[in-house]
Order: sequence, then C-alpha cells, then structure tokens
Amino acid sequence: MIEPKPLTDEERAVYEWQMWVPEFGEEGQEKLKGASVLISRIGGLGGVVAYELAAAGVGRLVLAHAGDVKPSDLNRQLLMTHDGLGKSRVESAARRLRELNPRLEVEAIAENVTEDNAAALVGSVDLVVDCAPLFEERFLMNREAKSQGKPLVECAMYEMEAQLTTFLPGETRYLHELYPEKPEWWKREFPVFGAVSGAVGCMGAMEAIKVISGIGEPLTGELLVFDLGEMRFHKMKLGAS
Amino acid sequence: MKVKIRYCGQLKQAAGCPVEEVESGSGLSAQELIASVAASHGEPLSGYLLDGSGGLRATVLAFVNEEQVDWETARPLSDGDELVFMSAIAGG
Repeated sequence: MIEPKPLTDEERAVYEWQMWVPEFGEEGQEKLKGASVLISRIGGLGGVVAYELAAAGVGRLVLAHAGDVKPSDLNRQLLMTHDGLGKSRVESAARRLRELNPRLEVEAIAENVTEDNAAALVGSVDLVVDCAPLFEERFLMNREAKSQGKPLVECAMYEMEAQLTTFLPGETRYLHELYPEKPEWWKREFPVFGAVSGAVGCMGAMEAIKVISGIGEPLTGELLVFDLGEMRFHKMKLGAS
Repeated sequence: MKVKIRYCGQLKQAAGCPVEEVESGSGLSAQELIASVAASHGEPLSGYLLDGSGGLRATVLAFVNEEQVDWETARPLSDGDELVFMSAIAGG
C-alpha cells in the first residue's frame, strides 16, 4: 500500500501540467511522491523509464545495474554521456536524474539482479520495472515480485519491435509463467535502435504511473506488441492459465 | 482456406520472412497448422517453434486473431484468420 505524501508549493508548480489530467490531480501526484520503484537495468529501456519517472515525480528510485559506461551504450542509454565513458553506469544515471529532479531520492546499486540480492531489491520498493537483458534476471525479479505481491511492468525490445505488459499480484500470470523457459537463442547483445527502446521505455513508465496512481487501464492480461519498422501496433490477449 | 502467418522477433529470421500466407484444407486446428508450418520450413524454424515432443516451445507464444492459443485445447481455424508467433525477448 503506497502512502501518499503531501506536496510542497514548488512541487505543485513543477507538476501542474500533469495534475491537470482528469482523475489524476493532486491526489495522484501525492501517490507518485510516496512511491518507490526498482528499475533493473537502466540501459536503453530502463534509463528512459527512470528519466520519465523522475520527471513525473516518483519519490524514490532504486537503480540496479553493474558495470561502466561503454561506447556501444551511447546509441540508446540516454542517462549515459560521452564524458562518463569508463565510469559507473548507475552513478552516471543517478547524476542525470538528480539534475532533472533534485527532490528525487535515488538509490544507485552497482549490481545486476542476482539470486543473492533479488529478494531484498524487490522487497525495498512498491513496484518493479523489468528492463534487464538476461532472462535469468527477469525470472528472478518476476518470481520475487509474485511471491512478495508486487506489481511488475515488463518491457522488452528487439530490432524495431517491442513488447510491453503489466503483471499484477492475484490478477495476472508473471513472466516465468508466461514463458516457463528462457530462450536458448537469446544473447545479451542484440540489434536495436535507441528510438525503439525509448518508445517502449516511455510506455513502461506510463504503466508504472497508472498502477501507482490508479488512473487509466494498465496492460493487464494483454501484451502490447509493436513493430516500428511498419508502425504496426497490436494488443494480444493472453490466456488465463 | 487461407491463413496469414506473422513471425515476430527472432522467429522472423528463422522463417526467412515476416509474413506469409498458407492455404490448407478446412477444419484444420491452429495446432495442426503449426506442426505443418514447422515441417514445411524445417530447420531452423521448426527447432524454434517445437520442442522434442512436438509441442509448442515454452519460449514461444502463438496467437490466433490476437488471442493466445492454449496448446492443450484444439483451436479451429477459419478462412482469413491470422496466426502470430512471438518469441520471448528482453531488454538492454
């Protein structure tokens, strides 16, 4: 249960335009301020999710991502910059997010999700956004989110295609139930444009905002699939069992 | 009857095309068509779609007219249906 936090006058000024959205208002903004979100990892997908949630006024972000910034990150990882090459990814991300929103509480964990940290990471937040490149990490987060009763937004991309859905405790299946095995052919490095990861990242952030604030209709029981090569969008109905 | 088949993600490369139309006799189920498509394409597509016992792989989802196919329940097909294969993808 998210405990709403009252807004300051500065926050009312910053979030004025989104508080004009019908059904959201100051009550929705207070819920965002009281919310915490885990994002793993914060690359092409997760970085954009984090940036949008920081801009929207989510109170606390937990970022989990190991390693340093590499040249090949810079086509899509929008929280990383050229002068950050060779430096910690999460530290670069945290710095960019604080520049955007100095009120944001950021917890930068320089680790990927593992068996050792998954329970604690998921347990420390209200909602999880899964942006990891490896299915081992995705399954760990999904199993923990399901067992701890936490909602999870699932974002994925490949080439010019993307998939998005939202898992809710007691209402939907989670990723490891939808795909019980990891695909043997999946590789950590794959072809993609930053504009594709950015597009699905923005949509994933909107799913998180909807679930936290209780507005709109989250993508539950449905998988949004889109191909930006053809600008083809489909909502696929997922089976119940 | 004619059924349109669309391949998403890495299945597109395995099939060698993003979309194709197949013609078959009436009364075919989605499960039978999937087996037939795997057999006609051969490898690598058949290995991506089917497991060792001829069932749909746990890493692939199949949809007919945007509704997920439950492999255990025969899903009859009609002329003009669209069958979509989707493989699990991740992020980065």
